[in-house]
Amino acid sequence: MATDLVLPSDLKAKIDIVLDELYRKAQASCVLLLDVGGRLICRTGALDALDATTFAALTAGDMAATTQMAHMLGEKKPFRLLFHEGERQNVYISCVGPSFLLAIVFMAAVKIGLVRLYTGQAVRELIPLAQQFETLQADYEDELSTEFASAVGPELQGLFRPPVA
Amino acid sequence: MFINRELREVHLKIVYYGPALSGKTTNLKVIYARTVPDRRGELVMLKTRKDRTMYFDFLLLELGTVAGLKPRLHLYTVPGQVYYSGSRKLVLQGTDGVVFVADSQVSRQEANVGTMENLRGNLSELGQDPETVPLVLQCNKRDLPDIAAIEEIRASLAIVDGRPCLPAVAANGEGVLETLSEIIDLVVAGAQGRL
Repeated sequence: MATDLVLPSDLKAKIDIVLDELYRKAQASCVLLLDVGGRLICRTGALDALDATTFAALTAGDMAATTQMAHMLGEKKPFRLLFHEGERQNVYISCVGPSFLLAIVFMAAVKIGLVRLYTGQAVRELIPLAQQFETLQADYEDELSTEFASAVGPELQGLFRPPVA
Repeated sequence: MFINRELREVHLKIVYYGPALSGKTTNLKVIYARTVPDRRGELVMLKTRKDRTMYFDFLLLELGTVAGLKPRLHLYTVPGQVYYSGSRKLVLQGTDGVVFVADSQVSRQEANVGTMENLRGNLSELGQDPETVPLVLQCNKRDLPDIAAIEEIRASLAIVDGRPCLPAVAANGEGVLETLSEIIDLVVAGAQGRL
Protein backbone atom coordinates (compact mmCIF):
# COMPACT_ATOMS: atom_id res chain seq x y z
CA MET A 1 0.00 0.00 0.00
CA ALA A 2 1.31 3.45 -0.87
CA THR A 3 2.25 5.68 2.05
CA ASP A 4 1.20 8.85 0.24
CA LEU A 5 -2.26 9.06 -1.27
CA VAL A 6 -3.98 12.07 -2.79
CA LEU A 7 -7.69 11.96 -3.57
CA PRO A 8 -8.53 14.40 -6.36
CA SER A 9 -11.97 16.05 -6.38
CA ASP A 10 -13.16 14.32 -9.56
CA LEU A 11 -12.34 10.87 -8.23
CA LYS A 12 -13.92 11.68 -4.88
CA ALA A 13 -17.10 12.70 -6.70
CA LYS A 14 -17.22 9.32 -8.49
CA ILE A 15 -16.67 7.42 -5.25
CA ASP A 16 -19.31 9.52 -3.48
CA ILE A 17 -21.90 8.58 -6.10
CA VAL A 18 -21.35 4.88 -5.37
CA LEU A 19 -21.39 5.40 -1.59
CA ASP A 20 -24.53 7.56 -1.74
CA GLU A 21 -26.36 4.97 -3.82
CA LEU A 22 -25.39 2.20 -1.41
CA TYR A 23 -26.39 4.38 1.55
CA ARG A 24 -29.82 4.93 0.05
CA LYS A 25 -30.58 1.47 -1.34
CA ALA A 26 -29.26 -0.46 1.69
CA GLN A 27 -31.04 1.96 4.07
CA ALA A 28 -27.72 2.43 5.86
CA SER A 29 -26.98 4.79 8.75
CA CYS A 30 -23.48 5.35 7.51
CA VAL A 31 -21.10 4.12 4.79
CA LEU A 32 -17.32 4.46 4.99
CA LEU A 33 -14.55 3.74 2.51
CA LEU A 34 -11.12 3.37 4.10
CA ASP A 35 -7.77 1.84 3.36
CA VAL A 36 -6.41 -1.21 5.16
CA GLY A 37 -4.12 1.08 7.15
CA GLY A 38 -7.23 2.68 8.72
CA ARG A 39 -7.30 5.97 6.81
CA LEU A 40 -10.82 7.17 6.08
CA ILE A 41 -11.09 7.99 2.38
CA CYS A 42 -14.77 8.92 1.92
CA ARG A 43 -17.91 8.72 4.01
CA THR A 44 -21.57 9.34 3.83
CA GLY A 45 -24.24 9.26 6.55
CA ALA A 46 -24.66 10.04 10.21
CA LEU A 47 -21.22 9.79 11.81
CA ASP A 48 -19.38 13.08 12.22
CA ALA A 49 -15.82 13.47 10.93
CA LEU A 50 -14.08 12.73 14.23
CA ASP A 51 -16.11 9.64 15.01
CA ALA A 52 -15.94 8.37 11.43
CA THR A 53 -12.14 8.65 11.41
CA THR A 54 -11.86 6.70 14.66
CA PHE A 55 -14.41 4.18 13.39
CA ALA A 56 -12.25 3.70 10.28
CA ALA A 57 -9.15 2.98 12.41
CA LEU A 58 -11.09 0.37 14.37
CA THR A 59 -12.56 -1.16 11.22
CA ALA A 60 -9.07 -1.65 9.80
CA GLY A 61 -7.95 -3.18 13.09
CA ASP A 62 -10.93 -5.50 13.02
CA MET A 63 -10.15 -6.68 9.51
CA ALA A 64 -6.44 -7.01 10.31
CA ALA A 65 -7.18 -9.30 13.25
CA THR A 66 -9.39 -11.57 11.17
CA THR A 67 -6.82 -11.58 8.38
CA GLN A 68 -4.46 -13.23 10.85
CA MET A 69 -7.20 -15.74 11.67
CA ALA A 70 -7.63 -16.53 7.98
CA HIS A 71 -3.89 -16.98 7.67
CA MET A 72 -3.83 -19.39 10.63
CA LEU A 73 -6.58 -21.42 9.01
CA GLY A 74 -4.54 -21.73 5.84
CA GLU A 75 -6.65 -19.33 3.78
CA LYS A 76 -4.62 -17.79 0.99
CA LYS A 77 -6.49 -14.48 1.11
CA PRO A 78 -8.10 -12.44 3.90
CA PHE A 79 -11.76 -13.03 4.67
CA ARG A 80 -13.78 -10.98 2.20
CA LEU A 81 -16.36 -9.75 4.67
CA LEU A 82 -17.17 -9.38 8.33
CA PHE A 83 -20.56 -8.99 9.95
CA HIS A 84 -21.28 -7.69 13.45
CA GLU A 85 -24.79 -7.99 14.82
CA GLY A 86 -25.92 -5.60 17.54
CA GLU A 87 -29.20 -5.00 19.34
CA ARG A 88 -29.96 -1.80 17.46
CA GLN A 89 -27.39 -1.60 14.70
CA ASN A 90 -25.28 -3.94 12.61
CA VAL A 91 -21.99 -3.45 10.80
CA TYR A 92 -21.04 -5.12 7.54
CA ILE A 93 -17.45 -4.82 6.34
CA SER A 94 -16.28 -5.89 2.91
CA CYS A 95 -12.88 -5.86 1.19
CA VAL A 96 -12.60 -3.64 -1.88
CA GLY A 97 -9.61 -5.20 -3.62
CA PRO A 98 -6.47 -5.78 -1.56
CA SER A 99 -6.00 -2.26 -0.18
CA PHE A 100 -9.42 -0.85 0.73
CA LEU A 101 -12.42 -1.66 2.92
CA LEU A 102 -16.07 -0.67 2.85
CA ALA A 103 -17.98 -0.46 6.15
CA ILE A 104 -21.76 -0.17 6.23
CA VAL A 105 -23.62 0.62 9.46
CA PHE A 106 -27.33 -0.14 9.32
CA MET A 107 -30.29 -0.58 11.65
CA ALA A 108 -31.01 -4.11 12.90
CA ALA A 109 -34.43 -4.03 11.24
CA VAL A 110 -32.86 -3.85 7.76
CA LYS A 111 -32.51 -7.24 6.08
CA ILE A 112 -28.91 -8.42 5.84
CA GLY A 113 -29.60 -9.90 2.38
CA LEU A 114 -30.47 -6.45 1.09
CA VAL A 115 -27.26 -4.99 2.49
CA ARG A 116 -25.21 -7.85 1.12
CA LEU A 117 -26.73 -7.51 -2.36
CA TYR A 118 -26.15 -3.77 -2.68
CA THR A 119 -22.74 -3.93 -1.03
CA GLY A 120 -21.64 -6.49 -3.61
CA GLN A 121 -22.74 -4.15 -6.40
CA ALA A 122 -20.98 -1.20 -4.81
CA VAL A 123 -17.76 -3.15 -4.34
CA ARG A 124 -17.73 -4.09 -8.02
CA GLU A 125 -18.08 -0.41 -8.93
CA LEU A 126 -15.52 0.72 -6.38
CA ILE A 127 -12.73 -1.70 -7.30
CA PRO A 128 -11.68 0.11 -10.51
CA LEU A 129 -11.97 3.49 -8.77
CA ALA A 130 -9.87 2.26 -5.85
CA GLN A 131 -7.25 0.90 -8.25
CA GLN A 132 -7.16 4.22 -10.04
CA PHE A 133 -6.79 6.03 -6.71
CA GLU A 134 -4.00 3.79 -5.47
CA THR A 135 -1.95 4.07 -8.61
CA LEU A 136 -2.24 7.85 -8.89
CA GLN A 137 1.05 9.62 -8.50
CA ALA A 138 0.82 11.28 -5.09
CA ASP A 139 1.43 14.80 -6.31
CA TYR A 140 0.88 17.10 -3.37
CA GLU A 141 3.29 19.87 -4.25
CA ASP A 142 0.45 22.40 -4.35
CA GLU A 143 -0.64 21.55 -0.83
CA LEU A 144 2.59 21.02 1.03
CA SER A 145 4.09 24.45 0.79
CA THR A 146 6.92 25.79 2.94
CA GLU A 147 4.26 27.98 4.51
CA PHE A 148 2.39 24.87 5.61
CA ALA A 149 5.50 23.25 7.09
CA SER A 150 6.44 26.31 9.11
CA ALA A 151 2.90 26.91 10.38
CA VAL A 152 2.14 23.39 11.63
CA GLY A 153 4.36 23.67 14.75
CA PRO A 154 2.77 26.86 16.12
CA GLU A 155 -0.71 25.53 15.31
CA LEU A 156 0.10 22.40 17.30
CA GLN A 157 0.86 24.48 20.37
CA GLY A 158 -2.61 26.01 20.11
CA LEU A 159 -4.07 22.54 20.39
CA PHE A 160 -2.90 22.06 23.95
CA ARG A 161 -4.14 23.58 27.15
CA PRO A 162 -1.75 24.34 29.99
CA PRO A 163 -1.24 21.50 32.50
CA VAL A 164 -3.34 21.68 35.64
CA ALA A 165 -1.12 22.83 38.52
CA MET B 1 0.05 10.77 4.29
CA PHE B 2 -3.36 11.07 2.77
CA ILE B 3 -4.66 14.27 1.23
CA ASN B 4 -8.34 14.76 0.51
CA ARG B 5 -8.11 17.57 -2.00
CA GLU B 6 -11.76 18.54 -1.92
CA LEU B 7 -12.02 18.69 1.87
CA ARG B 8 -8.50 20.20 2.07
CA GLU B 9 -7.56 17.62 4.69
CA VAL B 10 -4.05 16.25 5.27
CA HIS B 11 -3.97 13.05 7.32
CA LEU B 12 -0.70 12.06 8.98
CA LYS B 13 -0.18 8.75 10.74
CA ILE B 14 2.29 8.54 13.61
CA VAL B 15 3.01 5.29 15.42
CA TYR B 16 4.41 5.03 18.95
CA TYR B 17 6.61 1.93 19.02
CA GLY B 18 8.62 0.41 21.84
CA PRO B 19 9.03 -2.52 24.22
CA ALA B 20 6.38 -3.59 26.72
CA LEU B 21 5.65 -1.11 29.51
CA SER B 22 7.93 1.58 28.08
CA GLY B 23 5.17 4.21 28.25
CA LYS B 24 3.58 4.35 24.79
CA THR B 25 -0.01 4.38 26.03
CA THR B 26 0.99 6.88 28.72
CA ASN B 27 2.19 9.26 25.99
CA LEU B 28 -1.22 9.12 24.31
CA LYS B 29 -3.04 9.57 27.62
CA VAL B 30 -1.02 12.70 28.35
CA ILE B 31 -1.65 14.10 24.86
CA TYR B 32 -5.36 13.40 25.25
CA ALA B 33 -5.51 15.04 28.67
CA ARG B 34 -3.69 18.13 27.44
CA THR B 35 -5.69 18.63 24.25
CA VAL B 36 -8.56 21.08 23.88
CA PRO B 37 -11.63 18.76 23.91
CA ASP B 38 -13.22 19.91 20.65
CA ARG B 39 -10.00 19.21 18.72
CA ARG B 40 -9.61 15.56 19.64
CA GLY B 41 -11.46 12.31 19.02
CA GLU B 42 -12.09 9.61 21.54
CA LEU B 43 -9.00 7.96 23.04
CA VAL B 44 -9.52 4.37 21.96
CA MET B 45 -7.65 1.74 23.95
CA LEU B 46 -7.96 -1.91 23.00
CA LYS B 47 -6.75 -3.50 26.20
CA THR B 48 -6.55 -6.93 27.76
CA ARG B 49 -8.11 -7.51 31.17
CA LYS B 50 -4.68 -6.89 32.64
CA ASP B 51 -4.74 -3.38 31.19
CA ARG B 52 -2.11 -4.06 28.54
CA THR B 53 -2.48 -2.88 24.96
CA MET B 54 -3.75 -5.81 22.91
CA TYR B 55 -4.09 -4.40 19.46
CA PHE B 56 -3.49 -0.66 19.48
CA ASP B 57 -4.46 2.65 21.04
CA PHE B 58 -5.72 5.39 18.78
CA LEU B 59 -6.17 9.12 19.13
CA LEU B 60 -7.19 11.59 16.44
CA LEU B 61 -6.17 15.23 16.75
CA GLU B 62 -7.43 18.04 14.55
CA LEU B 63 -5.27 21.05 13.99
CA GLY B 64 -6.88 24.25 12.82
CA THR B 65 -6.49 25.47 9.27
CA VAL B 66 -2.81 25.69 8.32
CA ALA B 67 -1.95 27.39 5.04
CA GLY B 68 -5.42 26.55 3.73
CA LEU B 69 -5.20 22.91 4.82
CA LYS B 70 -6.69 21.02 7.73
CA PRO B 71 -4.10 18.66 9.21
CA ARG B 72 -5.40 15.59 11.05
CA LEU B 73 -3.01 13.61 13.20
CA HIS B 74 -3.65 9.91 13.65
CA LEU B 75 -1.68 8.70 16.67
CA TYR B 76 -1.34 4.96 17.23
CA THR B 77 0.51 2.82 19.72
CA VAL B 78 1.47 -0.79 19.12
CA PRO B 79 1.40 -3.53 21.75
CA GLY B 80 4.79 -4.05 23.36
CA GLN B 81 4.64 -7.74 24.05
CA VAL B 82 6.52 -9.97 21.62
CA TYR B 83 3.52 -12.25 21.06
CA TYR B 84 1.63 -9.38 19.45
CA SER B 85 4.32 -8.81 16.84
CA GLY B 86 1.86 -9.51 14.02
CA SER B 87 -0.41 -6.66 15.04
CA ARG B 88 2.53 -4.27 15.36
CA LYS B 89 3.28 -4.75 11.69
CA LEU B 90 -0.32 -4.20 10.70
CA VAL B 91 -0.54 -0.97 12.67
CA LEU B 92 2.63 0.26 10.97
CA GLN B 93 1.03 0.11 7.52
CA GLY B 94 1.07 3.51 5.87
CA THR B 95 2.85 5.22 8.75
CA ASP B 96 4.38 8.63 8.15
CA GLY B 97 6.57 8.66 11.23
CA VAL B 98 7.57 6.68 14.28
CA VAL B 99 8.19 7.66 17.89
CA PHE B 100 10.36 4.99 19.48
CA VAL B 101 9.61 5.02 23.21
CA ALA B 102 12.63 3.44 24.89
CA ASP B 103 12.67 2.40 28.54
CA SER B 104 15.73 4.08 30.08
CA GLN B 105 16.28 1.48 32.77
CA VAL B 106 19.52 -0.46 32.35
CA SER B 107 17.63 -3.73 32.80
CA ARG B 108 15.43 -2.93 29.76
CA GLN B 109 18.13 -2.16 27.23
CA GLU B 110 17.99 -5.60 25.69
CA ALA B 111 14.23 -5.23 25.23
CA ASN B 112 14.78 -1.83 23.56
CA VAL B 113 17.28 -3.32 21.12
CA GLY B 114 15.04 -6.28 20.28
CA THR B 115 12.05 -4.04 19.63
CA MET B 116 14.10 -1.71 17.43
CA GLU B 117 15.21 -4.70 15.36
CA ASN B 118 11.58 -5.75 15.10
CA LEU B 119 10.61 -2.23 13.97
CA ARG B 120 13.27 -2.16 11.26
CA GLY B 121 12.27 -5.61 10.07
CA ASN B 122 8.58 -4.72 9.92
CA LEU B 123 9.20 -1.45 8.06
CA SER B 124 11.36 -3.27 5.51
CA GLU B 125 8.69 -5.91 4.98
CA LEU B 126 6.16 -3.12 4.39
CA GLY B 127 8.43 -1.60 1.74
CA GLN B 128 9.54 1.39 3.82
CA ASP B 129 13.23 2.14 4.32
CA PRO B 130 13.87 2.10 8.10
CA GLU B 131 16.75 4.52 7.66
CA THR B 132 14.63 7.21 6.03
CA VAL B 133 11.31 6.88 7.86
CA PRO B 134 11.01 9.92 10.16
CA LEU B 135 11.86 8.72 13.66
CA VAL B 136 12.17 10.36 17.06
CA LEU B 137 13.73 8.52 19.99
CA GLN B 138 12.10 9.24 23.33
CA CYS B 139 14.11 7.97 26.33
CA ASN B 140 11.36 7.58 28.89
CA LYS B 141 11.41 7.01 32.65
CA ARG B 142 14.32 9.38 33.26
CA ASP B 143 13.15 9.75 36.86
CA LEU B 144 13.93 6.15 37.76
CA PRO B 145 17.17 4.96 39.39
CA ASP B 146 19.68 2.86 37.46
CA ILE B 147 19.08 4.30 34.02
CA ALA B 148 21.35 4.27 30.97
CA ALA B 149 22.75 7.49 29.53
CA ILE B 150 20.81 8.82 26.56
CA GLU B 151 23.85 8.58 24.27
CA GLU B 152 24.29 4.99 25.37
CA ILE B 153 20.69 4.17 24.47
CA ARG B 154 21.04 5.91 21.13
CA ALA B 155 24.23 3.97 20.34
CA SER B 156 22.79 0.61 21.36
CA LEU B 157 19.79 1.22 19.08
CA ALA B 158 22.11 2.26 16.22
CA ILE B 159 20.24 5.52 15.76
CA VAL B 160 22.29 7.82 13.60
CA ASP B 161 23.27 11.31 14.74
CA GLY B 162 20.85 13.99 13.69
CA ARG B 163 17.73 12.06 14.60
CA PRO B 164 15.99 13.78 17.51
CA CYS B 165 16.43 12.15 20.87
CA LEU B 166 14.44 13.44 23.86
CA PRO B 167 14.37 12.64 27.55
CA ALA B 168 10.94 12.11 29.08
CA VAL B 169 9.02 11.20 32.18
CA ALA B 170 5.75 10.46 30.43
CA ALA B 171 4.02 9.48 33.67
CA ASN B 172 4.04 13.13 34.73
CA GLY B 173 3.86 14.56 31.23
CA GLU B 174 7.48 15.66 30.83
CA GLY B 175 8.77 15.47 27.28
CA VAL B 176 5.52 14.15 25.78
CA LEU B 177 4.37 17.20 23.83
CA GLU B 178 7.95 18.02 22.86
CA THR B 179 8.27 14.54 21.34
CA LEU B 180 5.03 14.96 19.41
CA SER B 181 6.15 18.32 18.13
CA GLU B 182 9.49 16.88 16.93
CA ILE B 183 7.92 13.98 15.06
CA ILE B 184 5.40 16.25 13.33
CA ASP B 185 8.19 18.54 12.15
CA LEU B 186 10.07 15.53 10.80
CA VAL B 187 7.01 14.04 9.13
CA VAL B 188 6.17 17.28 7.33
CA ALA B 189 9.80 17.80 6.31
CA GLY B 190 9.96 14.17 5.14
CA ALA B 191 6.86 14.60 3.00
CA GLN B 192 8.32 17.72 1.42
CA GLY B 193 11.54 15.82 0.78
CA ARG B 194 9.62 13.22 -1.23
CA LEU B 195 8.27 15.86 -3.61
